[in-house]
Amino acid sequence: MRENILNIIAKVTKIDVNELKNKMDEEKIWDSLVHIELIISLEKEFSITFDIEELFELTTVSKIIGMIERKIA
Amino acid sequence: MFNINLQNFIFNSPDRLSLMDYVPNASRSIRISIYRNHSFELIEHTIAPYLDFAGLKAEFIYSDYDDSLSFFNLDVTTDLLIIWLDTQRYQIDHVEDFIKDRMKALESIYKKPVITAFLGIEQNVDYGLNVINYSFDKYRLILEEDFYDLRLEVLSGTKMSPKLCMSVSKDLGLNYIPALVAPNLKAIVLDLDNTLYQGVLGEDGFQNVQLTDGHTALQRKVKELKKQGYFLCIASKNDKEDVQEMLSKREDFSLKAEDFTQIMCSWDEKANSIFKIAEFLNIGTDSILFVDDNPGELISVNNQIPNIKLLLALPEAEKTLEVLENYPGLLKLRFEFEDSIRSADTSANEQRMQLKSSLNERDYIHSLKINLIFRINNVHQITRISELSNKTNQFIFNYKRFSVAEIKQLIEQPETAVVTVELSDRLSNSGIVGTCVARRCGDAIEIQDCFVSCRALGRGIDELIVKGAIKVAKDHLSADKVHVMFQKGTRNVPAETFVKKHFGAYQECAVEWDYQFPEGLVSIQIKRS
Repeated sequence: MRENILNIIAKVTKIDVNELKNKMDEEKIWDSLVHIELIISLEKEFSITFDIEELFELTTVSKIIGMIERKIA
Repeated sequence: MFNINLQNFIFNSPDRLSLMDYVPNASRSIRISIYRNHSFELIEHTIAPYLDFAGLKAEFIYSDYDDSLSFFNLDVTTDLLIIWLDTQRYQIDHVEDFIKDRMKALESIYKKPVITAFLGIEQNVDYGLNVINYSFDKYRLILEEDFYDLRLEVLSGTKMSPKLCMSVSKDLGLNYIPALVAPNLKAIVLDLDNTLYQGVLGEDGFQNVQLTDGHTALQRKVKELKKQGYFLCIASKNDKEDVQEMLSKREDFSLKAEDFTQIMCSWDEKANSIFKIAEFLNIGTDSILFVDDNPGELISVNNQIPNIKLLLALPEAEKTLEVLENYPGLLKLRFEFEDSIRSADTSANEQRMQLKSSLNERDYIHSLKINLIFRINNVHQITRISELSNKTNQFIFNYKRFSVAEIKQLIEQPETAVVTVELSDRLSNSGIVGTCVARRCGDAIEIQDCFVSCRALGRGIDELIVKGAIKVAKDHLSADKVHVMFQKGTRNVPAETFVKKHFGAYQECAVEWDYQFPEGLVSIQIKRS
């Protein structure tokens, strides 16, 4: 699951997976246009919907992984 | 990516990421201004493969979000402008009136084609000939609750859902943008077996080939395209008698023999049939769409005619229909009189050729009872003039590719004459076949462009059409001299030959020129608006 999420983030953001792993808690490593594409891709891939509050919390790779894992669990 | 592979990619429900990762290789670059008050970026992110299918690569130039439609900082040098508005953002009464006022102001600023895409209001307003109204409504029924996504608006900057964005991106990329910035196709050459019906005529017999529901819908669409002015032709490896028998006896077929301008049945390579069709129609092969279910035939034709457009017909005719309905260059946004007469006019060429072979040139022209009408600065002809300017590739002096707004502006200027030539003879009415755009400079006129439809050429009156139009422009602008501007392009050899022969001395500078219409040869009328 975690690797799958990382791969999607890497694909959308064009940031290498290893680099993402080094920046798990870093904010603003992609811009807002990439961010909306990332949300669209993640929702589609995992058949989930983030509510408005959650959308604002998805600011780092760690938070994205944590949120998806909680929603799917 | 080879055209057929790209067709398979974009018509097989590609996901958003694949569309975004696509690297276009189209040769023609265009620039599109986006004037907006909500986000267009989600459309841009997925549009590249669709534009690539149309042979286009686009750069988008964005305005800031501007509800006021000030049009400050609008880049007016682009090829197309999209006004991208969410009208629900306006908190004013009569938003339609406000937009109408601003569109009026835009008319004097921007001269290239404009698409208005207004989310939230029905657009029944005519903003002028240069403007096409795009409607989102066709997606409301399909997408229902997925039409909007207000939850994502805080991030995306638009109420449009990702699904709606994908649909509109496809529609703009395949249909609307190509229709406004590239020449339309002119002819559709169709294979028969397993393309227009299921089965093989030579093996199954005409009674047994199957017209599935999908093929019925496909034939109807093809017939509709014929009514819109596209030439329909057949390139088939069958016996012609069998084909004629099938088209006359299968009453369930929408397509009949008379719908086709040329039926080429041969066991020879299909490229040869297509070359003959192009020659007969007097059009370039880049204006032809070839539809066949056999990828081998498509590849073979593509190898011999690299600039032809290709469509792979699929076993499920519904899928072929979807591709045809979205094929770049087939969307006709304005319907002109000439579209309805084109096929019959060209069919009459066969009779003209028979006459020509049996008479000397003067008797031949006499026998046709030709009428020419030269019309000066007629506002009702603006759309057709612009269409002809954008479609003509062979007999054209300068490839100015005038938009309707540019023609309108030229017509309104006192120092300019836009002269059209309408042609009819006893066999058919050809409508507007040529235009000369001239500007007065001192005691001379400068021929800014002159273009003549290939349908009108070769009837023995080419010289009369062109020189007549230039003479009418010169007389209208009270000039003595003529200066002919000419720009050599890839395909305007016929125009180049004509200019060299008749206006060789008039290219360097303005020189005195006079021309008298030949007496008694054809009927000539000159009409001022």
